Amino acid sequence: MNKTIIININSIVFHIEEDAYDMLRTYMIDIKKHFGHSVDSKEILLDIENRIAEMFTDKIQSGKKEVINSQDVEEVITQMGRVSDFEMDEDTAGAQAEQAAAADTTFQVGKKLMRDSDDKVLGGVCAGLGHYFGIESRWVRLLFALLFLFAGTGILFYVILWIIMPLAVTRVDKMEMRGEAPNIQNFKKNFEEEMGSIRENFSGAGANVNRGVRSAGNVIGNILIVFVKIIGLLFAFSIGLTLLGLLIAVIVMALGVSSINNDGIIEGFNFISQKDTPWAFIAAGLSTAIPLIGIFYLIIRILFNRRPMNNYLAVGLLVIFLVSAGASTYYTAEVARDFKERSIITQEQAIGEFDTYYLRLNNSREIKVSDNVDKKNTIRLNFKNNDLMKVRMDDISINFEQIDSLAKPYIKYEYAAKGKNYKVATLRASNIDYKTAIDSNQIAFDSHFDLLNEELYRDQEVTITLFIPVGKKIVLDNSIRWKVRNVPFDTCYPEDSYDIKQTVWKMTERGINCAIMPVVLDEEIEETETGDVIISEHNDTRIKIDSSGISIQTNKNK
Amino acid sequence: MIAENTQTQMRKGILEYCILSIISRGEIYASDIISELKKAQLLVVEGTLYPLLTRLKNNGLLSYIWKESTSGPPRKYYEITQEGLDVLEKLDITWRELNFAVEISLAGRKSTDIKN
Repeated sequence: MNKTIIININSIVFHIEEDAYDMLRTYMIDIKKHFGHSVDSKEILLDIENRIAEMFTDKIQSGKKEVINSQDVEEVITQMGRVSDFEMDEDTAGAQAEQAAAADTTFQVGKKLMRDSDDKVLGGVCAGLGHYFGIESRWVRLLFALLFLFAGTGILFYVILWIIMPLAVTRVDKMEMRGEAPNIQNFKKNFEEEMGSIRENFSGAGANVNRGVRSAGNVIGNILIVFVKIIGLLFAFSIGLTLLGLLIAVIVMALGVSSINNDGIIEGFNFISQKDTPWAFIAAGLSTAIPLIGIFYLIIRILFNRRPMNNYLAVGLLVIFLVSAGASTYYTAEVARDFKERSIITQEQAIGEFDTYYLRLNNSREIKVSDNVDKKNTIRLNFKNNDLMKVRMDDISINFEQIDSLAKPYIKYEYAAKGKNYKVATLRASNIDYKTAIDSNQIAFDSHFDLLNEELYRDQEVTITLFIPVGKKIVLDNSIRWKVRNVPFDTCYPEDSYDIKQTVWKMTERGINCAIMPVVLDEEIEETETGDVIISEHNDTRIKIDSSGISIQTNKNK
Repeated sequence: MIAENTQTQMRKGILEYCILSIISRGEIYASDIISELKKAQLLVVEGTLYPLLTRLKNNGLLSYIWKESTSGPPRKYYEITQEGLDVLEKLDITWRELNFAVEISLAGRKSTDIKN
């Protein structure tokens, strides 16, 4: 009497004796192990199983029996051949792969993060993560679904993982994914699981539904991949455009900076000396462009499965990047260092004694042509040294100080500049070219100053202080207003009036004070809600027209 | 060991050639291929054939169709593709060349030296 086991090979049911089953199982495990490294393993095994099923069917029909016994199994195995027989005719490549895998077994520790194609909804990412962290895949899926609710981060994360994680193709891959050493016990386990799943798959309509879900998953997966590729392509495209722009900018800057400067159209970038400017621009351009090139290439590589960059090229780019980044840093440090020390040169200029001084600003960037002179000639004269464009520094401030009413008035000029040391700073300060036109009591300050000898911009400033005896009057033209520092303008300007041409001030013991409040000439007429018309509501007088007539109120309390 | 290696190499190439030749005659079931090969004493066990057929199929030299069978599961019937025919043509030429080479090489030896 023998115990019989019911097995199912490719949807055909066989009754098999227990010892025959053990023999068959061992044989199938051997075969699975043998073909485990081949990508086609599933198909080969299916063919073999099919054939075995067929041979069993033949045996049952010809022998007029119902149960497969160990002799039948033995015959089938002899016909099919043992693994040792296969090796004779096998691909040497296959044998090598097996040896390599066998060597792997001894060193194999831990798991590999791979996508599980057997338990997938979309790309098998969640299942793979589940295997890796030892969590059931449904919890990983739940986590991703929840993450999706947070601004769709789940999708992004999933897609990135999909790109990164390789698909577990061969049986060995799958075992490594689950963290099982590819040895015989695990092959056995794997085999039994698969037999189980085959039974499940063929147990009815469930199989079709399952397949349907999987193929739907594949379709969504393909759409997602296309979507990601499009986004990546757009990203790469924008980086490409940026690179192109940067390239043009570098070329223009490197080759054209000085010529543009000479034309006087664009003010030069005079933080750095003329001869260094092209190099500084090339260095800055390259140190920005090379990382962008790297990102660009990476995207293209991921999208189109391109090979990694040629080693020489990669190392070359790295060297160029390091050099240009170093040069950029050097230029930046050089410029920063040149702002370390500050020097001030002071100059005093006496002015004549008058009761009233008229101060205005002379726009030094304006070409003035008098009626009786040929315009063309004058302009040519002015442009002879391109000097008009060089007069561009306008960091000028004007202050007023009171002196004794009997002392002589004078103007003090302070020229300040910065440099890497005091000497350089002083030299720079001496290169400031500032002009004041004094015509008896009319003083015109230039609006801009020049830097002589192609001097670089190093925070140059001109501070002018007028020392005026107490009691003298000063008339400030409106043009000078924004250069004057220590004058309380709001005390001399009526509210909301911008069309005041000049203000009159008087020097007192406590500094400069408004002498005469300018009169607002054009009075605004406003209409109140009651229909009253207030013509003027200025300081302490109120002129009002209403239903009772014209009234003039004067506030005497003030 | 060296002899075994050479034997394997020789047999492998010829096995593929023979399989293609057999299939080129018309669609055929795997076990029929096996019985033919057994008759020719080229193949000892069936298990060797399946990986070979799968590989040839994946290389596009063969295709198959499923056919219902009176006994057991549906059977895979193999057919040769146009690509397979092209390859076979090339192999025919190579075989003639090899055959010629072998004949020339063996002609120098006395017929008694070659054991049957």
